[in-house]
Amino acid sequence: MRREVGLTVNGRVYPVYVDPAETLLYCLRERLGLTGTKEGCGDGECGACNVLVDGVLRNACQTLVGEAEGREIVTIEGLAADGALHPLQEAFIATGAVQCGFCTPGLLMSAKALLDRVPEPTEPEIREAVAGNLCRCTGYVKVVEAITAASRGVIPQLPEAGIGANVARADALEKVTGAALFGADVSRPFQLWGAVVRSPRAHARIRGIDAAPALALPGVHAVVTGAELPADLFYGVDLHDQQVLARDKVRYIGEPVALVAADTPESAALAAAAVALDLEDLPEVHTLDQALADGAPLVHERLDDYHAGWPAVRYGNVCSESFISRGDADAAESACDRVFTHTFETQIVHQSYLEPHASLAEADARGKVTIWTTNQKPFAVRRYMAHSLGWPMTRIRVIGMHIGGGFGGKLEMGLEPFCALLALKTGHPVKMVMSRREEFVGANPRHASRITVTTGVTADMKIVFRRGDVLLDTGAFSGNGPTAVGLAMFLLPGPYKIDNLHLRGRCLYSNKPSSGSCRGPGGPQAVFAGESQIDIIAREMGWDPLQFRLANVVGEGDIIGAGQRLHDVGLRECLERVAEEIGWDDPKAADQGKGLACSWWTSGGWSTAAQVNLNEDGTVTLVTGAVDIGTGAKFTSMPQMVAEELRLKVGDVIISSCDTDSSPYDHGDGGSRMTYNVGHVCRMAALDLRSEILERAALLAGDDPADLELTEEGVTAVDGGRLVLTLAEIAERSRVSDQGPLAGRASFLAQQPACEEGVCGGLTYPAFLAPTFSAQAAAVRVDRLTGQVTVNRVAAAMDVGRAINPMAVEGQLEGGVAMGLGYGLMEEVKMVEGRVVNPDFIDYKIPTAADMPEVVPIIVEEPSGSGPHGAKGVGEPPASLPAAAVANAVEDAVGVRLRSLPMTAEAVFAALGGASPGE
Amino acid sequence: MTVEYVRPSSLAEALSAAAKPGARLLAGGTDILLPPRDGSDPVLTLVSLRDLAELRGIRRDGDGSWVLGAAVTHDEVSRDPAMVRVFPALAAACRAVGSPAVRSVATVVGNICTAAPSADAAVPLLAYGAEVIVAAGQPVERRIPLRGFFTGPRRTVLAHGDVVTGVRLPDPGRYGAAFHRVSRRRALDIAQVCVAAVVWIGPGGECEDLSLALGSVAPTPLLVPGVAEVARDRRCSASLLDELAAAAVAAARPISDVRASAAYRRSMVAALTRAAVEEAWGRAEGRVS
Repeated sequence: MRREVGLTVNGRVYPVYVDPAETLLYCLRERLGLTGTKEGCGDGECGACNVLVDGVLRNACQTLVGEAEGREIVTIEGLAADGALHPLQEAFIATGAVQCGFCTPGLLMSAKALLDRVPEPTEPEIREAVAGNLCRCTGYVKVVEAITAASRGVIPQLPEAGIGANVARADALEKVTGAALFGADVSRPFQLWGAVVRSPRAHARIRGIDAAPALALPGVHAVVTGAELPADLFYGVDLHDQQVLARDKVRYIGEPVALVAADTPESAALAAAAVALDLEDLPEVHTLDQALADGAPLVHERLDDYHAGWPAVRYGNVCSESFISRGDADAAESACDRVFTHTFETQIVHQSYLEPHASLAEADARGKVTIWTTNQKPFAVRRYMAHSLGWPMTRIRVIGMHIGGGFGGKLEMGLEPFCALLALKTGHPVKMVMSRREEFVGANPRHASRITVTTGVTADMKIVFRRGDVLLDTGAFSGNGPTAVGLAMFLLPGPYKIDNLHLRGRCLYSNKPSSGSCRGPGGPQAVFAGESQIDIIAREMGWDPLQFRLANVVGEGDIIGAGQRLHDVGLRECLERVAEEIGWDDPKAADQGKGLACSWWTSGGWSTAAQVNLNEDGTVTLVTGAVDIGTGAKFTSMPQMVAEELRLKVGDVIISSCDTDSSPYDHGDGGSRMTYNVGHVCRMAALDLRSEILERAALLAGDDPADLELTEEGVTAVDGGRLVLTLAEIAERSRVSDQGPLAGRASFLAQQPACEEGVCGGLTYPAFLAPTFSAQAAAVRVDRLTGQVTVNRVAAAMDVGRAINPMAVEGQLEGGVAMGLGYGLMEEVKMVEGRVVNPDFIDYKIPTAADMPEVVPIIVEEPSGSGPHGAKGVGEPPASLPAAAVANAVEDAVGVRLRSLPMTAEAVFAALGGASPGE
Repeated sequence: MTVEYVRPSSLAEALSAAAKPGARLLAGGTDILLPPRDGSDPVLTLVSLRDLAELRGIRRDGDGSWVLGAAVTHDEVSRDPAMVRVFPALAAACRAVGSPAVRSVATVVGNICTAAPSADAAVPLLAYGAEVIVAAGQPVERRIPLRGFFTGPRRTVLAHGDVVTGVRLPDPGRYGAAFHRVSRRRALDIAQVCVAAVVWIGPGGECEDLSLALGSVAPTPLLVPGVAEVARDRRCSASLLDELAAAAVAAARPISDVRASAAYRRSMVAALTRAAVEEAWGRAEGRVS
């Protein structure tokens, strides 16, 4: 029953006419427009909606308006007082505690509640106080640092420019104040809410869909089904095997089959549940073995007809098969003293970005649709929509919002076409936000794997050959699977000199949600298998695992992967430094152990372009189609490099947001490509503008361009430093009277390194650009009574080429370790016959601040010959190593070897001889 | 589908609101506002207890017993100096629940009345011999021993319309207690198993009384039967710990679910029982702080 309620928010009274049984979260966001308070789960399990009510920290998702009525509510928007930031906000900016920024408001409110009670908290008190705030980006390291700094009044001052300088992220201020707009934070007048009708069956023929019961409900505007969409148009990342809505059959529980639009989120959800599906069950494929079996039911009957963007090998339920074969593994086997074969299995995990998928679409009178979305690849969304709906690109405009974490989970097209179709059909803007439950059944998690690896060694510690068989379960659609399996094959042999390699990879369909990209797709699976076996071999042979690795690691000029020659290799230093940091040779106590892992990865490629415009006041605008998933590359290294070439401060660079109508093309934020690629193109555009500035200055002043240079003051004479013209003078005179405005431009597509002929086949990605090298060491303690593994310390080193912003690089290392530890120790999307049985943060556990060990980030700089200022890509690799390092440490501690993940207390307890897991 | 929200200003009003069909009491809201479980009764009215001052606070009665009002949160218990001193196992259980934003509103009485098999606070309360205080419209309140309160997962002996006003803990005197718990994560997680042990020892170090309660290993939190008889007049020893662990395992009826297997739960019942009794004993003897 609606009534007038007086809500006092941040000192101001808002009279609202609402149902007091509505949640405070919905009321704040949708009625008062205070969107700084975020919805991450709706179950009180993530803390993104934390607010203070009469000074008490609460989850706004579990607070009814009636309970908050008449009380003092403080939200993130009220944390800064009288125009001055709260010290916590300043400290979060200054320590790099802000990445994607989605969990930041909740973290800040928890931290405020703590400091209000305990002015100078200890580190354990801080960790306990923020343990209810899930953060996937930071690993909580800099969050704890920030709260400590704020409570002690020692907030660092950051530099304003420089390569290798810890410049504050350009978007940090809007993120600590709640002003940053994420996908669900935009609204349009008269908007409706959309919901997805999802398949309740894992594999079934669609006999009919009856929308009438849904349309009969109050507030329901439209239902869209697959039958209304083009029958013969498909899309996909590598293999075009997917349609916007299921048409003839459903292939997993959760597959979208229809869409509804209604006045409110509740009526849309009710309507979605009312759409009647007539389904006829088909035989299902749930396991790798079922997928490979003779006569297995086919997940895709028309596999051969699909368009493939690479020379694909596919058959049965295998959507991609590939190989790498160098030297002669079979012949080499006879030269070995010992040969080891082991099989490793890994689980499905979810990226668990705190921001669920969200989109809003609005159609104009000509049928052009504008979509505000939180996708990592706005240009690809436009392309996929054109492919799958048959629309010209002139009818699709995609605007990239702040992304509350992606980790690859938002690389594929999600809600965007759904909102667009509903907006066109209803004539209203339509907004859709996935619930956390939908995230677990309807997004693109990390592939489960089974990897068998055989390695031959000689008694002098040399690895002679490695054979590998990689199986990835990609679920109902190929997604990024064909690439992920190839990447796993690159990583399985490790960063070692191995002359004889034979690797086979297969990506299999099943009736599960479609797996996609997750921070280093294929990486953690392969590193867990390959690096676990390195330790098994060392233990069996009586070798020190560090020395065994050092005896085989690659260096300058070595051949690796599919015959690629390496340069700029900082691996040895990474290994030596983590070993030193962890005290590798120090004695250890009972049930404690140490473990190592090392790996390599690519700096991502793909097309990009950028423009740098000179503004009338001498500042510049960086125009890029890039978005930022939270790493901050777009808000640190890119403007830092632009400012550097133009002798500006980072604050003088306006950074455009991505709009496919007006931004130059960019591939998207993923694949550790931002600093290496987009940074490079931004720097090239800045250099282009610099030459233009010098030429224009010469023209305006009647000088020779060769006699001029750019300095902090403006254009000056090389000889003597006389100021010729300021940038503002050049811009303004150009605009008014001479040749018009100045802009620098650049385009870039990094060229793949050359490989040997005939060494590989079926790979979507045959070589690693500007490879990076990583090593991690973990120190653990195992409780034999419970099986609980406590990670005490992780040292994470990475050769990043050149750290343009070391604080941001550390953030990637720390956050990657947290994600990798979650993968290794606790996370698993559990399925029974294709149904996810833990689709929420109540039972899908990611590490909290209380779970995280001390993390020591170590930056190693072996400059890349091709990256800007020598930079290489950083984002993905840190998450790939922790599981292997911890598995190795667990064996070191208690002598048991875990060959499958996650290494839960129960699994370790079973390995120690206790009860069997799953009984 | 719309839920009505009412906010009575007296216990009498709350009792009459609670008696309506489909009414449920709303305290912290951390459980009742979760999406409804399959098969749960639809909630038509939420009766907010926020304005009932008589439900607030922790008080001590004339007979030395302690009463936690129905509005007392997990956070209050875990920080209250008297609770931490007198009922450390309860304070520890309250601190183990959820996150700060959950503990700051979730009430101990709510934890009992929700009657989840994994209710953390219920476990030490059982071991301490707590009683539930119920107002049901009569002039005299009823007291229900907690050990007979739970009848199944999310089921209790309460009748529709009952309003629990608090929970009463008898004065424990000089004794020792401990609460042990395993979960998949160190914070914000439901227990896979939890155990509370409460031990009273005589001047010679021999056991006078002992109680042991378990959570997450049966359809309800449960008190392990017969342990006082096993322990009485004995000193703490490995064989006694083994016998008590065996009694606890025999009492447990765990299931395998998404959080743990039954086998792991049984193993943990034994391991945590030993650890909790040993620690409680140490506290009773003043060896452990």
